[in-house]
Amino acid sequence: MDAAGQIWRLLDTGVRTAAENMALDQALLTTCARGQSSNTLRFLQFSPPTALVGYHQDVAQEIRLAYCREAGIDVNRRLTGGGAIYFDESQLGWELIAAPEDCSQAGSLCDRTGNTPFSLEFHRRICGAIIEALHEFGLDAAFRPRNDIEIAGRKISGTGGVEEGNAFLFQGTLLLDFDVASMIRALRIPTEKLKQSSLDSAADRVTWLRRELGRLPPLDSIKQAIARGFEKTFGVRLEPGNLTAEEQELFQRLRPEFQSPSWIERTSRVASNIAIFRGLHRNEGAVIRASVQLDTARRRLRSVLITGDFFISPPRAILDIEARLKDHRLDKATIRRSLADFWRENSIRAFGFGPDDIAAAVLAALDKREWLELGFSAAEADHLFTTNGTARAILARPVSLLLLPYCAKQPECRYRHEEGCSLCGGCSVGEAFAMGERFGLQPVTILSFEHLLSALSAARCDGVEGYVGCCCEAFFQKHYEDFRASQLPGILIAICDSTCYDLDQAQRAYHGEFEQQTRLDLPLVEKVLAAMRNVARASCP
Amino acid sequence: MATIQGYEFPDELYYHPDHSWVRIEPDSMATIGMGDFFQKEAGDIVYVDLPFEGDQIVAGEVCGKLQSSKWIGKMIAPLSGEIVAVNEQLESDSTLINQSPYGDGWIIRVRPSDWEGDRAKLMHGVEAITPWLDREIARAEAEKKK
Repeated sequence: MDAAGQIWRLLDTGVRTAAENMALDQALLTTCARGQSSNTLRFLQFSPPTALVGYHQDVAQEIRLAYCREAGIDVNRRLTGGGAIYFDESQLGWELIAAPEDCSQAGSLCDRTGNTPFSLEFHRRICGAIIEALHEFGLDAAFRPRNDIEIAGRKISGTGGVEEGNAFLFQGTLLLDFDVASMIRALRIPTEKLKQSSLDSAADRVTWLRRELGRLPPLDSIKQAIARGFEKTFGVRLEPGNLTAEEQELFQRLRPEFQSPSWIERTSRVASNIAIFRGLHRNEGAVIRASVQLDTARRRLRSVLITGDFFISPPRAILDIEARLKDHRLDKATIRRSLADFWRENSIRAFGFGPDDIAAAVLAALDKREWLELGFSAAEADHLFTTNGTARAILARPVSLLLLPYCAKQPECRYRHEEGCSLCGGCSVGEAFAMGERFGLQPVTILSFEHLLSALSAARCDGVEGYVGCCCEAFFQKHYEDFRASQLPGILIAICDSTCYDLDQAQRAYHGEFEQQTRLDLPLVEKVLAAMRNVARASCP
Repeated sequence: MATIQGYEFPDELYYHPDHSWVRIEPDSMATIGMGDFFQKEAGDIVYVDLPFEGDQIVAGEVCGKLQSSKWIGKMIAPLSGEIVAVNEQLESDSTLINQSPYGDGWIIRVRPSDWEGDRAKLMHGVEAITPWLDREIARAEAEKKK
C-alpha cells in the first residue's frame, strides 16, 4: 500500500511561539493517530527565537538558560528525539504527520503488520522530498545518515521523528538565514576555545539558503518548492487546508501543558550528565583537536567537533566523520573501528595522519572522564592535561617533581630567571613551592623551553617516575610531541590569565624573556596533589 | 540458537511480528525484549522510555518507547499482563539492546494474564519465523534499492 493518488493536506500554521508549535505537533499527531485527520505536510515558524531540546534531553544541561533569558530566547522541548537546536525567526520548519503505510513504496518495511519506521530508508525517503526542493534551486543537496540533509558536507536540515498509535510525526528544519553566533551562545555544544574560531568552525558545519544561493528567495517560493518535492516523492497532491475543529479543540487544551515547567524542564528517570571534554593529538603531519560532548550517565558520545591544523581530502571528510561519531557508543575499540571503516569506505587522502590519529584526539578527550571519577568537575578536567599516561595511572606513580613556569613569578622578582624562590608570598609560585614541599614533591622553576627539555631529561636519568607541572594550554599543545618524547608521565595544570601566546609574545617566552606575569591555579594544583595522595593511600594495603 | 538469514533467533523464544520476543522463565514470568533483526535495522538505541513495575500491558499495544538516533519509536507488547520488573540497566546503557538483544538487553518482565491465548498469535520455531523474516528483509531491501 502506498499513497499514490492520495490528496494530502498542506497546513501552514505560520509564525507561533514554541509552546504553540509543540502543542500543535501533539494535537496533529494525536488526531492523525486516531484516524481523525488526513496526512499532512505542515510548515511552521517560531517567534520569539527558541532553543529547542530533544524529547529526552535536560534543558539545564543543553542550553545556557541565563543567556536565553537575557536575550529573550524561548526554551522548549520537542516531541521528537535528537539534540538541541536554535530555531530563530528566519528559519523554516517542515513536518509530515501521516500514517506510515502511506509513506512507503508498496511492500516496504512500513506495512501495517510490521510497523517499524525505525529504518534509515524511511527517513531517507522523507528527506528526499526536501532534497527535491533544494535541487529546484540548483543546490546539490544529499541525505547523510542518519538524520541530516547536507550540501557539501554542511548541514542545512536536521530531522527527527516520533510515532504514536497508527501515525508518525517526522519533522525537520531548513536553515534559510542563520545566526551562528546566537546558536553557539544559546546551546552548550562542543566549540573551539577562542571566540572567533568557535564562530568559524560552527559556520563551517552548517549552511543556509542565503549563503548557498547568494540571496534569499521569497519564503512562499521555498514553501512551494517543498510542497512540490513531497508531491513528487510520494505521488500525492497537496491541498491547502486549515486545522479541523477537533485539532483546534485539542490544541487549546494542550497549550498550557507545553508552556509548563513540567514539560519544558522534565528530566529523564536517569538524569543525563552532559560534559564537554577536549583532547589533543599531534604528530609531524597534523595537529588534531577534538571537543567531545558526552553523556557520562548514559555512556554515549553525543557529538564531536574536530579542528586543528591538517590537510585532508575531500575537506568535507571531517564533517562526515563528525556525523559518523554522532550519538556513538562510548567504547574505544568501536570508535577506532568506526573511524577506520570511514577512512576505507571513502578513499580519504590525508597528509601525514590517519584515522588512528583522529581516534587518539577523541580518546584523549574521553580519557578526561577519569578526572570525574577522581572527584574533579568537568570544568576542572578541562584545565588538566596528561602526557605519557592517563590521570589515574600517573597519580598512582611516585610523582616527585613539581614544575613551575617562570612567567608566574613577579617580573621584578630576583628569582624570575632563576630556579629558586624566597617564598616571599608575593606571587602564586611561592605558595606552589610550599605546597610541593608539603606533598613531598621537589619544586623546580622552568626558565625556558630548553630548560624544560633538560629538566625532563635529567629527571629521567635520576629515576623520576612522574611529575606535575603548570603551564598554559598553548604551551602544552605546541610542545605536545616534546612532552611525549621525554617518555615521562606527567600531569599538567593550565595556568590562568593571559599567557604569552594570547599576548603574542611566545617567541620571547621561549627564550625566557616574557615580561608579563601569569597566575597559577593554586586550588587546582592542591586538588591534584591531594588526589595523588589519595590514590597512593588507596593502593596501599 | 537458530540463525535465520544471518539473524539470530533463539529457538526457545516466541516472536511477535512487531519485532519483540518472549521467553517464559522457570517461575512462569515472561521476559520480553526486541529481536536481532530489529536492533540491526534501528541502529544503536540511545534512549528507552519504559513503563513502571505494576503497570498493565496489553498485547498488540504500545508498552514502551525506544529511540534510535532522532527517531522515537514504539515497542509493541507481545502479550498482556502486569509488569514485575524493568531492566534498569538500560537507563544508563540502552545499547545493551543492540549488544545483547536476548541477554542483558532484555527490556521488561511480565506476569502474563493470558499466556495460552497470547501465545497462539506468536511465531515459534524456524518454520514459522522464516517466511515472516523473509518478508521483512525483502521490504527493507526494496526500500534500499530506491
